[in-house]
Amino acid sequence: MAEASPILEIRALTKRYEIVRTGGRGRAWFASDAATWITRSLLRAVGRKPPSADAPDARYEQVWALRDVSFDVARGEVLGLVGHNGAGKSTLLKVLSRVTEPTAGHAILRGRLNSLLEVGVGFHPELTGRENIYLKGAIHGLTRAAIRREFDAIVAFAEVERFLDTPLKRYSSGMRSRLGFAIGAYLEHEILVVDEVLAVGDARFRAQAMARIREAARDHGTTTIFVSHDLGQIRELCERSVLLEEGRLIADGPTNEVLERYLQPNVTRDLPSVWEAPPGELRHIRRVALHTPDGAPTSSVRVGDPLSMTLHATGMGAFPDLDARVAVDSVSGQRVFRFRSSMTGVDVTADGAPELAITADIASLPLVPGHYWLNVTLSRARTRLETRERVLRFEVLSADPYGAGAGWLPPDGPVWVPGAWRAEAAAPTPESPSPGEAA
Amino acid sequence: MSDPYELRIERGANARGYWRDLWSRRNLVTDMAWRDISVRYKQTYLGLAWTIVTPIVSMLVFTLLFHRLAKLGSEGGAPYPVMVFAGLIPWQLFSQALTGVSTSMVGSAALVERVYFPRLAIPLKAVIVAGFNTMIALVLLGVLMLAYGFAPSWHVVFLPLFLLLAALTALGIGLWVAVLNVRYRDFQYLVPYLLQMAMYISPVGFKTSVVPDELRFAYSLNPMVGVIDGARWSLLGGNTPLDLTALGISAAFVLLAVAGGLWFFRRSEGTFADRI
Repeated sequence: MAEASPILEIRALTKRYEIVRTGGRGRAWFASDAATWITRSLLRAVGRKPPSADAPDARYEQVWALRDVSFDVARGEVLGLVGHNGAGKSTLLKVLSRVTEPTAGHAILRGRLNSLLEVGVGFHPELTGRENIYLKGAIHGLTRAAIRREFDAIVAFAEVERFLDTPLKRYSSGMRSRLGFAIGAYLEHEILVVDEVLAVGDARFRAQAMARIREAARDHGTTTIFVSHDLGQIRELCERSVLLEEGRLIADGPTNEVLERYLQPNVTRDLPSVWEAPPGELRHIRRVALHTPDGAPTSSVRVGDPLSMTLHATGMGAFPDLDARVAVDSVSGQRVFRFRSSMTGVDVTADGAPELAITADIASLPLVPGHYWLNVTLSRARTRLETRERVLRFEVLSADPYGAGAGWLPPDGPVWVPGAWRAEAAAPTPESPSPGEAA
Repeated sequence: MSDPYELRIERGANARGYWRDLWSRRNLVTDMAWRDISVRYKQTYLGLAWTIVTPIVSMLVFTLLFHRLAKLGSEGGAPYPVMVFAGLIPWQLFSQALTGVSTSMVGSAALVERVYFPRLAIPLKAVIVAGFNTMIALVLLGVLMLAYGFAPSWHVVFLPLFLLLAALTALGIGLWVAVLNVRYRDFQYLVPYLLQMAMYISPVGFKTSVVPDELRFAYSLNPMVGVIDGARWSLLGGNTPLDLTALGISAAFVLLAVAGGLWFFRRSEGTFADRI
C-alpha cells in the first residue's frame, strides 16, 4: 500500500569524488589528461578494454563523501539533517536532487522533490519580480500553468504585490529572500529540501519561513529535510534527526538524542599524530608530529585548546635564514590559517645545526569542531625547500570554552573567538520604539 | 492521497528517459533563452538596436573591402551590400550560436551545481538566443532589399533549411567546446580567434565563385561554405546553381558533428556538477 511505504527510501547510498592530487593541474596535467583520454578511447574503439578503465586513476585522490548511508523518511515528516562541515550533508542533498549521481546504492523517491535554493540562484537582477517567479519556477521544473496556480500565494507570502513589475535589483535583501523562499516553498512538491536557507534574512522572515514549513507538513503532508547550523531551529522543527559524520550515518532517532550525540566530544578515532617520511627518501622534512605543549602526542583537541606541531628536518646546516610554516585546511579544502616562523621574528636556524626539531606552539586553536589537514613547508629566504601537504589530519572536538554549561552551542562559521559578553543598565534612548512595537 | 509518482535514483538513472525529460522541460529552455535576450541590452540607450549594429557594420566593412577596394563582383543581379548581408545572416547565426553554446555550461555553473535538469537545455537555449538575433537580421535584410528594389526568388522557401544547417553545425562543434570548457577554460578564449579567422576564409564578404575552380573542392571542405552558399542561393536566386558537392560536405559534417557532440556531451554530463 502506498500509504505505508516511506516517501523516501535511501539504501546504501555511496558517493566517491575524485579530486586532483596536490600539485594542481598544470600544463603537464592537460597533456596527461588528453593522453589518457585518447588512449582509452582508442582502445575502446578497437574493442579492447583499457587496462585501467575501472581502476582508480592514480592522479586523483579518492574522497568518500557518502558511505553506505541508509534511512527512510515517512510522509509528512520534518527530518533534521546534522553533521559538521564536510560530513556529507550537502552531498546527500545533491544526490537526492539529482544534481550528482551516486557511485553506488540507490534512493527511491515517492514524491517530487524540490530544493530551496540559496537566495540569488536562478534569479536575475534585471528581470522584474513577476518574470523572476516564472523563471525560477521553470528552473524548479514547473510548467507555467502550475506556477500560475500558486502565483498569488507566492506574492502574498513575499509581500511584493506592489513591486511585481520592478526589476529585482531594486528589491531589498529581505524582499529577495522572502520571494526566493516563497517560490520554493509554494510550488508543487511532496518533498522539500531546506539547506541552510534560513541562515539569511531577518528574524521575522525566519519565523514566517519556519511557520510555513510546519504548516505544509501538517496541512499538506509535505515531507521536509531540514539542514541548519542553528540547532535551535532543528529542535523546534524536527522530531527526528539523522547525524552524518565523514559520510557515514552515525545516529538516527529523536532529535534530542541525536543532537546530544552531535554535541558530545566525539569518541576519538585513531588518527595518527606522527608522520614519518618513508626511509630512503632524500627529503629534508623527515617527521611531523602533533602534540600538547608538554609533549604528549595527540590528534584531537578541544575548541580553544593549545596545540603544538613539531617538524624534524635534516640537512639544514647548509641553509641559513630558514622559515618554517604550518598551514591548516578544513576538510572541505579551505585554507583556515597559516602560521610562519618568520612572522614571529624567531630564527629557527639554530646555529646551522644539520638536524633540527622546529616547533610551532599555538596557544589557543581558534577553530570550530571538525576535521582539519596540516600542511608543512620549509623555505629559505623566498625559495621553497620542501612542502608536505596534508601530512596529518587532526580533529577539533566540541567543547564548552566559555563555560556556558548546558546552554553551550557549537559556534557557527569557520572560527571560534575567545571573548565574553556583558550587559549593564543604560539610560533610555528617547527615539527608540517601545519593544511592543518593534515585535 | 496516494501518488503513483516514483523515482529511483542510482548510478545512470539520469540517463534514462533523458529525451522525454528534456521535452517536458522545454519551457525552461525557452524561459532561459528569453531571459538572456531580454536582459542583454537592459540599461543600454540603444537597447535592441545593438543587435543590428554588428551586421550593419560588418556589411559596410566587407562592401568597402571586397567591392570597392578589391573590385569583386556580386552574385546574380544582387547589389553587393545585399549579397554580403545574405552571407552574414548564416555566418552570424553560426558564430553567435557557437560562442553561446561554448560558454553556456560554465555560464550556468550556479544552476548546474544546484538543480537537476537535462543539461542539454543549456546549450539549446544558447542556440535559440542566436536564432532570435537571426530573425531580427532577416527583417533588416528585408528592409535592405526593399531599399535596393531587389526581390528574392522562390528559392527563399529553402532558407530555413540552410539556417537550420548553420545552427546545427554550431551546436555540434559547440557541444565539444562546452564540455572541454568545464575542465579547461582555455577554450573560451580560443573560440573567438578561430571564429575570426574562419570568417575571412568563409565566403561571407565575397562570393565563392571568386575562388579559382581548381581550388574549389578544397575550399568547400570548410563546412560553412556549403551553408553560406546555400543561404545565398535561396535568398538571391541568380544564375549560380547550387553547389551540391559543397552542400553534401556540409550536411555530412553536420551529421557527424551533432552526433559526436551529443555523444561527448551526454557522456560528460554526469560529472559537470562535480567538475564545474
